[in-house]
Amino acid sequence: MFPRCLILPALAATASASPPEARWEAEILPLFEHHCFDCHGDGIRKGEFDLDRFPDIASMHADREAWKKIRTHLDQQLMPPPDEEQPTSEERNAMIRWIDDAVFPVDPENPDPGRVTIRRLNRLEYQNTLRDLLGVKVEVMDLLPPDDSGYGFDNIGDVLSMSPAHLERFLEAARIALDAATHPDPMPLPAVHRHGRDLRGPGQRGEEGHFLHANGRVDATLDAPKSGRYRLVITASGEDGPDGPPEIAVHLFGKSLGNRKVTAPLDKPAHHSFEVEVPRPGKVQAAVDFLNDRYDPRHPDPAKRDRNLLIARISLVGPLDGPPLPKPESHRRIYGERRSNDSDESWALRVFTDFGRRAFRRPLRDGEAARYLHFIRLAKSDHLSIEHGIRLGLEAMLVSPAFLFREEPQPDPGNTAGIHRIDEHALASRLSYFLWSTMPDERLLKLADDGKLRENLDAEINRLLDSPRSAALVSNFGGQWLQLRDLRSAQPSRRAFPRFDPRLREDMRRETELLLTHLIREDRPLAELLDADYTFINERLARHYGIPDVRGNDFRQVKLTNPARRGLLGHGSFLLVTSHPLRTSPVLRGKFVLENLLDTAPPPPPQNVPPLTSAEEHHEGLTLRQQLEKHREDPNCSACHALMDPIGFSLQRFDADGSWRDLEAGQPIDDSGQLLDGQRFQGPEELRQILLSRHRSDFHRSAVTKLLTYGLGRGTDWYDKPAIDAILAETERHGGGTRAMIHAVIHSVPFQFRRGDSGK
Amino acid sequence: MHSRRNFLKGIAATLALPSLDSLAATTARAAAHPTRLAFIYIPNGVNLDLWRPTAQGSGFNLGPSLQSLQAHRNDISFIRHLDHDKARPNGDGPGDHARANASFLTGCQPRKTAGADIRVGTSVDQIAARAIGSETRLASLELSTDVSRRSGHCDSGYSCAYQFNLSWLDEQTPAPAERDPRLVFEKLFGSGNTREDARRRAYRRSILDFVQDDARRLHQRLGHTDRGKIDQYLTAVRELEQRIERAEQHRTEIPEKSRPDGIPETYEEHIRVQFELMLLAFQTDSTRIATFLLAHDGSNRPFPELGVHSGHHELSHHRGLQDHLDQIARIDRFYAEQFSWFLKRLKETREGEGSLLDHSMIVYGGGIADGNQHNHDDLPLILAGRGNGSLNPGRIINAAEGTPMTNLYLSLLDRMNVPAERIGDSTGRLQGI
Repeated sequence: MFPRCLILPALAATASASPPEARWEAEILPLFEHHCFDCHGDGIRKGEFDLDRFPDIASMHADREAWKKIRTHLDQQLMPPPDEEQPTSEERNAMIRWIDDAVFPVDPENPDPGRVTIRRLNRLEYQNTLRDLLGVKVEVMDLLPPDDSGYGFDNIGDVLSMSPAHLERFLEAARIALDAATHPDPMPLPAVHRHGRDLRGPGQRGEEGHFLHANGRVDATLDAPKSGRYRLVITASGEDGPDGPPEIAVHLFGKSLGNRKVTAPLDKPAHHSFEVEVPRPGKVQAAVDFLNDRYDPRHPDPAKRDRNLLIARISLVGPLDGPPLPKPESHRRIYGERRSNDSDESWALRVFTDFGRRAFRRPLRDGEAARYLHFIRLAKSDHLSIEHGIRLGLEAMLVSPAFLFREEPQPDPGNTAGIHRIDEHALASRLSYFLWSTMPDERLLKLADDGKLRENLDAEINRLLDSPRSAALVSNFGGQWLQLRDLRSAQPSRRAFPRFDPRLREDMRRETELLLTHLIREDRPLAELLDADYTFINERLARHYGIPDVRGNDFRQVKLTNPARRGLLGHGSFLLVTSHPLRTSPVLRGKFVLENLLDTAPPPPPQNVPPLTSAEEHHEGLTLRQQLEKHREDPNCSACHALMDPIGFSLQRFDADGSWRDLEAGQPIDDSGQLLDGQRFQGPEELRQILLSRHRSDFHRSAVTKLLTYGLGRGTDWYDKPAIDAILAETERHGGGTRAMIHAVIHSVPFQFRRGDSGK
Repeated sequence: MHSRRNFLKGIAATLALPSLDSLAATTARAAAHPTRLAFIYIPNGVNLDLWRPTAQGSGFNLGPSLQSLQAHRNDISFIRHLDHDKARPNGDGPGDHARANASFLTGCQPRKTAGADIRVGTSVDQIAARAIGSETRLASLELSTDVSRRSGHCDSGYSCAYQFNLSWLDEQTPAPAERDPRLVFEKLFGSGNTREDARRRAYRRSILDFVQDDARRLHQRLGHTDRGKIDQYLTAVRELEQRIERAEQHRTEIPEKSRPDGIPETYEEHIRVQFELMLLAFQTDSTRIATFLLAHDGSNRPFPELGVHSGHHELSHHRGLQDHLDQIARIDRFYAEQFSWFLKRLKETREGEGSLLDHSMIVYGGGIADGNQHNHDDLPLILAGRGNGSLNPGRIINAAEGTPMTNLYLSLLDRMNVPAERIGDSTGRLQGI
């Protein structure tokens, strides 16, 4: 949760025996008075902030948000401002430690699991869930309003709202999905069709069918599966001649079946049916003659000058006494078999019970399925079949809150002190939405039904991660954590980067996704995200990076010889999403690294920063680096930018389109930087080494915090610290493995437990 | 492309048809011509020097960025000195874009949170929708041409909900805007299959009635915050039930020729199609209240078609650079041209003795004045239309310095016959508009 200081190695926290109140008076308050009160105490409220309103610890507990900010400002050395006297690092750490003990006390023996607000499926989860529930792929995501994000992710219970616009679209999407998956009407007889463009004979063939502009015969061979009665259907249309419509003669096996007039207009072909006997299975020869072509250019009605014929299709339907086509597989899976002793209601009840268990991700409660029989009665009163009635019930289930929201039942929901282990069905859902972004599969549901999920938890986590469906974790978690989703809107300007192929954006996304996938699949240490000496590229991306000998569009694992490209900081994805269309942004790159990789979000710029208002103050001749250094002369800006900018500077050799460059605006690039403690470094390699040697645990903490946020669907808070510490320790015990981290997140207290909520 | 052009042409054709007059006549309660209210949002502030008009006698000279509005100068007023105090930090620190967006129609200080306990206020359009929305088929219409959402964090610790939504149903529930014109059309006029739509409505009604019970049962099993979410669901159910009822009461002919087929490729076309749909909704009296978020505040959209290759937000921090200011002005001009086109379309749409514009009140503006300073006072604001004779346009109206924007809104609600005592931070009514 709380980052250790980016620069100073944290001092080992030594628990103090004396109570926080006593230490405040004796030790801490004097430090605050000395270093802070000149601006923020004794009636002075610089930046609308003062410490006078915190006379005791209870008042601090009442506004923990303020104390989080105070702690961040101390921890990241943003306060006191650089031009003021600084506390020693011991003093600084004593203040931070006291804040942790007094304002954010946690008890690892009795951890607070927190509370996840009931989560509506976001639109991606919704679409995936429909796919798995119904067994058909439906594209309904774009029907739904986009989901707002919180804490960097779009699956946060508190933020996912339910407006009338949402519910209206959920109704619509349910209808579309069930149209695709079910077929409540009787099924048609089997049929074989020969499209007009596949017929033999004189004339012209096109998308509409076979045109005859002169008398002649078209014919087709159709397959009859067995002997018996069939229906031969000619689908045809035409243009009238001076004395009426075209006329056709239809033949089967060379024998005439009769003549028909084709009155349908050209763009609306109509059917002409003949019942026929097919004596034996096999080939059936059908032919159509155009009998009365006529052309009279002088006819007064231009529409009647030229008689033509279009054969759109010839079909053989049957056998007429045979069974109709089977229902689609998705329909059969949902409706099951109607048994001989089934009443309408007993059948429907079984469908609702089975479907409901999967849709609601838990067994139905007593009487819950029976309520849905309401729709069977409704259908009956409307003279609709039982299958239509069932279908209506399914539609209702798909807009029921039990489907759209993920309820996690608990015995005492209104009791804030009541901590409770989530039941196995809730756990199955947490697991599958975390790792697959979809509903639990049958195996997970069955394990939960039998109460055996927890005892098989590790095996199940591995099974889910091994499945191709875990691609959802990479694209949804990785896509938001590492901002890969933003690549779609990243647009290096065509003017500045004429050689940038827009398809590279997709390639870059793929590269980072493949590295993440590899780390999960092969259980590699997560630190390889930063320093893997290999990557996954295709020819286009290889050329962009200047890597030789990669051919074709397929991605493959390639060993990197240029150390600058190693890990995420050398990936086009990162370099692009942190650039402006015309230029790189060292600030954005630094911010990305701090925020996403080191769990050290720098506070946003202070309000009312005096902007460089006049053009004179803006030195056009300066490089970007010089401009930023100028900016940092302002003490209001220097503290944060001293954290962000050096990181970005060291990456300046990567251009805004992700390619390598040696010059910036014709000038050599200075890619050196200096950290707050004075240590100098240069270029991406040395930056990477610093990150890995000195900030490895910050990186892990960052990844854990994001994983937990995404996995839980809520922001992490101070009381999650023991859980995060435990996950980190567990990860380290396994050598920093990516899988080990995911396992530890799932085993953590906030993932396994929840507490009640009285609203206070 | 084909049918999109057809769409624009189609509307023109539709408008020529006399049937629309009779169509308006069939609408219940269309006695006099109803007053329409719309809010159009432009992000990131403007280049004020080139945007603001200069006083000229009793009228004004348009600023260089707004020359496209020449033809409408007698139908618009500029209102000066309207502020959004609730877009200011007031102790909450940075996040001016999120606050500008969230406070624009609510006049409320958004609670600073990245997720838990989102809270701002009911927006003025939704206050109106609640009061008079039942008189039309749709209570209100929310449009957008914003880009699709980015991942990650939004402005300075504010949840993205604040920065991407203009309309708020209540203090916790944003009303999402629709950016796909095809879906807007369907929302207004249905699928085109009237019989099927009627059948669907009947079943929807039974389904909604049924799941309402599910929701009530679930409600009892939940803790405090979770209940709030299910309350949202129950509210949505009731609203849809009413909407179904209204759809049965207010039938209308479907201007089928105008049905769009998706999101147009260019931004300009997209904006114009959405404007056309707003016009169509007003013209057919399908709703009288609309909002349109052209882009969310903080939007970093580049405009390569205007020769602007940097993002709008990046540019808006212009630091006094002439080059940046010029590019901002180009964007300002672009938005003004789209607005001008909309006004032209409203004006050429006859309604009774006057035009649709005569019967409308259109607010065009944003929650930031100058992008570099992020200030929220003397915001750029145009009020267009005659409000059925209740507005007196063609002037610069000087409000007292520090007047809340919501005072204007309150005065507009009066003209809609919407009783409201306060909106957000309003302190009274803005007289003399």
